[in-house]
Amino acid sequence: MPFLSDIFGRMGRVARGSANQGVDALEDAHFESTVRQTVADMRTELNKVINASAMAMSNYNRLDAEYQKYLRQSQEWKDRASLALDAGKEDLARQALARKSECDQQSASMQQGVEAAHATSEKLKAQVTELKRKIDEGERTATTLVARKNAAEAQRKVAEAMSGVGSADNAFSALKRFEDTVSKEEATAQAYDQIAATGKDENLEAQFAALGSHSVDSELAALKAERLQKANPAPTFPPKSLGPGESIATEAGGGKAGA
Amino acid sequence: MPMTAIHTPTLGQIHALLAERGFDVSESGPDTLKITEVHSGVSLQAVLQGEILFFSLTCTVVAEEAITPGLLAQMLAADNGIHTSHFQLYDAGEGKVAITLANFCKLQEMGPDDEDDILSCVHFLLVDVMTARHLLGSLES
Repeated sequence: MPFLSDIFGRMGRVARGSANQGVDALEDAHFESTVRQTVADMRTELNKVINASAMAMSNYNRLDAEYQKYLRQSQEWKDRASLALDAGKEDLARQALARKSECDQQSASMQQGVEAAHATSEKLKAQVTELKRKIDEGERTATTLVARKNAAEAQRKVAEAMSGVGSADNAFSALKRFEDTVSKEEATAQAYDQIAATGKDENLEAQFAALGSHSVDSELAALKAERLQKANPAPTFPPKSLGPGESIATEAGGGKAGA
Repeated sequence: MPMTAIHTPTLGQIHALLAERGFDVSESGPDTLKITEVHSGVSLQAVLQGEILFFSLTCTVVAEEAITPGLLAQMLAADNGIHTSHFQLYDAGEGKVAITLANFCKLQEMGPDDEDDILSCVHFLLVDVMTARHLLGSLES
């Protein structure tokens, strides 16, 4: 199959990235489809060989069956001739042997054809096996070549992108920036801890503590007053009549402006 | 196995998968994704070519002279700690060289295996870049 080795050889060179003047731009652009088409062509050829092989086998089977029939008949006439001799009927034996001779002539004339058909059939079966093996190998090669070609193409695109890459646009720089950020955050946290530990103002703390207790004292006084008020409720007065322009809100000194 | 047509994975599918997993992803080209790990800010790019998804992470960019035989030996050493990706050098122009880590996977029909492959490739690079930083520490200014 010279065309296979030729086309795979050429594509192999393309996949390796070597410029090959023999492979035109169209073939390069349709590399994958070309490779797949090559394998498809091999499959078409395989189908043809399989059909031819089937026909050859069928032909051989038919010829062989006929050949075997004449061989059997020859043996039968021979057996009959023996029977006739046993029975003392020599004429009958002679006729049987004459028939046997006809069968022998037929089988002899067919023998060469049968052998040739057998050889053809076996040869085609071997071709089918070999072609199947080559197709399997071709598919593996094609898959590998397409993958290699695609990987090479992807790598070329990476190389193009790399041509303009900045010195700071890389992982080591990013990791350095990340570490710097983490270090700053750690330093800041440490600073806050130090401030919290060393910046305590005892006087201020005492004043806030006093404010806290003052607040409790106030609440205690208010609670006592409330209880006292409940025990001695204040007398109720009739509501004061509101004058023109007066409202309850005004009376209460309410209002949200400036809030 | 016949070479029948398969559903080629699309960049959008890969974009969605990585975004769903917490990466900051943008399409920097018709077949290229920029994938950023949001906490560290480390980014890498993925190029989809057919069924091949090629990942590349730029470790650093240095002057050509910095690529010494000793450094190359470290980068190629089998016991250098980088096992799931490999170093590649690219011409960054102006006498500089980009040292990258790369790996790739061959996708099929974006099933669970493919998703695992993609995420593994990204994670491998993010792990290997830490080792690479230690390995190439002398290059960091």
